Amino acid sequence: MVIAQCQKCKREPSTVVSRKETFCKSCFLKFVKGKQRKQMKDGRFKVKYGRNEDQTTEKTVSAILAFRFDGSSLVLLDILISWLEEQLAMSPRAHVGFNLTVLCYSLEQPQSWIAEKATQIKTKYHGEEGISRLHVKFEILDCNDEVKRNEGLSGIYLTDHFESLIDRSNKVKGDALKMIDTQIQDKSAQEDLKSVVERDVIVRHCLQLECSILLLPDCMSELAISVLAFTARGRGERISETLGDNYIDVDGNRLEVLYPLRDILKSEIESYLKICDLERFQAPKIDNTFKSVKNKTVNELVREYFESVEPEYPEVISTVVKAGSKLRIPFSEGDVKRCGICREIINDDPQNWLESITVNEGIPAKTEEEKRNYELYLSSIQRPEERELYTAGNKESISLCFGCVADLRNLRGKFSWPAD
Amino acid sequence: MPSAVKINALCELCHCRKAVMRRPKNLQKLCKECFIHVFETEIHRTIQREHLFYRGESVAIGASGGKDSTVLAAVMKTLNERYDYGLHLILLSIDEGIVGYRDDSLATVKRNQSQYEMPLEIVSYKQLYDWTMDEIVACSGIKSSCTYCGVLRRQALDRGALKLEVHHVITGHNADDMAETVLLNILRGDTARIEQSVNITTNSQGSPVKRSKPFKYAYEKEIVLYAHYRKLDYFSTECTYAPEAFRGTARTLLKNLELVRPSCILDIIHSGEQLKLKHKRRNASSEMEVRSNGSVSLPNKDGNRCERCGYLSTNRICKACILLEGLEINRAKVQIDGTSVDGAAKLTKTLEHLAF
Ligand SMILES: [Zn+2]
Ligand SMILES: [Zn+2]
Ligand SMILES: [Zn+2]
Ligand SMILES: [Zn+2]
Repeated sequence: MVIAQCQKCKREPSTVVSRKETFCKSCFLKFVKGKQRKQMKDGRFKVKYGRNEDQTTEKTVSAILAFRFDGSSLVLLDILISWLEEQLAMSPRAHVGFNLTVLCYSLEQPQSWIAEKATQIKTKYHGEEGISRLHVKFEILDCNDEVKRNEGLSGIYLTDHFESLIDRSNKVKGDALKMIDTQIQDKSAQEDLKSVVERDVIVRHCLQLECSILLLPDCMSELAISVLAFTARGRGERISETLGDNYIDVDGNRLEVLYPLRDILKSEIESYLKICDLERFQAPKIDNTFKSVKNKTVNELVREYFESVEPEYPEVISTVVKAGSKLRIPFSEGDVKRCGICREIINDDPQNWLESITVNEGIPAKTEEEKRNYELYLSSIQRPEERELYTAGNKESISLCFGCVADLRNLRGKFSWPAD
Repeated sequence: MPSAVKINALCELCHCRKAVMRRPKNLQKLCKECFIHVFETEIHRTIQREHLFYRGESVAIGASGGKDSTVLAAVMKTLNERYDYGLHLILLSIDEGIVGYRDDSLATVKRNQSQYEMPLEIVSYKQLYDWTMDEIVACSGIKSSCTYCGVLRRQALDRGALKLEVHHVITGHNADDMAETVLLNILRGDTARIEQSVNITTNSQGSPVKRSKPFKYAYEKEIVLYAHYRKLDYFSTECTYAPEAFRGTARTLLKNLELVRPSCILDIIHSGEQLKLKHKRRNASSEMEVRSNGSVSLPNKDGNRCERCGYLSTNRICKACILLEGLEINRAKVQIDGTSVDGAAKLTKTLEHLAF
């Protein structure tokens, strides 16, 4: 058996094959890091020189890494730490190019798990002392806490005519995340609303820390999934925000969003994890092998789709990400309305759109029997719980985006949410 | 017989008849009458909202005998009478020349002609291009059959319409087709088409024939159910030449998405309507085409007609002529015995004589 040689250094035996090239371990890591450096080549992140740190602090930008304990998060953290180490080693007068806050969170794992893993990861990078030397800080986030700051959940409703209403008079105490798990049956809506919570929590935290650069760990394969999943959820306008524009505007603040791993394939993340022995820090993955299609979520179906076509059409993932980055936000400037659930800008009126293509009036009763049936129906809806939607309380109108209305449509018109 | 009907077995719209189905689009339980009513009324609303037609307009229905176009003909006839659109409707069929597929489906169209009392016009590939689809496949292989058929059918419909002096062709493309196209354009990174892919009406610049898709928002499953409840006569066999493999993967994904989330099809169309390109650049690559024999077709700015056949084209030679030219070269290679190769010349003649 001939052991293939690394095509880069032409010395070491190859251990990884990616994009039809063979790599030895160290050339492979260099290759992946090179892709990240390209995304962060901006001068702001470059090593700073000065006799002492005070001379550079003012120039040093701060960035937040959204760390969700998946493979991509671990790889990005590893790359950033080794980059900061390199920067410090460049000269005795060298100081790190940027301050990094690692925001540890998980929507699935308990807080105790998060804390324990975070400690293990810190230990790997020489503990508190080792990371603070690099100006790296770990922070642990409790997504439920964040959500709880809204003083309760309000019922949100969608009428037969796609009018969205909110009942603020009856706020219920509770966690949005738990509500999503218990109250929402539809797995895809669950997934969608969780990602709304996730995003909201991270963005708000960035603003709180007055940090204007957010590093998201998504690799190319994950971004391709987002593009298709946004499309499938009626959130097409989110594609350009994610890939095209690189910033999020919230409450008059602009948050810059970077995807340093946007040129890295999922398979490359896996290889990197293996080479650097990082797999053990990952959150356990859900096994979908025996799930029927019907029980899968939109994201799961899209992920499997890419996995199934990639062998025959290897360029499909990069094509999708490239197409996504050519898009722009469709709205015109001026009066912006934001969604009461996800805070996205509302581009067009979902009610109008849906009403114009959906008829919700039937053909009235004609025969005696039909009239009798209708009488029967009328008497049955006198029960208050049946009429809740039309009678109960102080429902006000609330503006929602098309994607959130899509979730409500699939949930047949109702859920509770920490809307303000 | 006064039966004790359960309240929750009643149709969710009229609350007076028994529900017989769950509506694919939103899973509402409906009776047959209400389903037919909402299906037709939604098409009517789409037509109204988009101002698809004007009174007195002659409209050709691209009729293949399949479910979509058969239902389109039936619904258009119903709506035209019910709401008094004042349209003159004509069936227009293309005979691609696919033995066993098109023969039978054309027989269906001919029955539709008398059922709906509409005039019928059939134009054939053979007559237009001197090639049947079967001959094309025999010559170029089955793999690219859809590419050929797509290009040739488009032109054939236009030519057929012009022969009838009709400037508006409607086709049975449904919401599933639209959603599939949105997905495909993203998957192929076809940004040039991303913005236009969901337009209900397409009208190439200066083209004498406009095309519309009144079923843009109608679910394929609902079209099948409508045909079923109205007992419409349609031909249900798929084209012998199966779709291109990659399109097939997008279709499977869409079907799976619809299964877990019925709203997906509409949601994808809505997303498609939101996709806007960053900056419009003149697409330089489409202005120059390399022909199959290696020569280059340079952009033709003013007289945008195909030099060879006179059909509207951004290039000097239209796509159909380029494809046919490639075929003629192949046919010539096949006919090595020396019989006169008059294909290309004959084709040019045939196309020249078509009335425009
Ligand atoms: Zn090497
Ligand atoms: Zn929203
Ligand atoms: Zn009904
Ligand atoms: Zn031509």
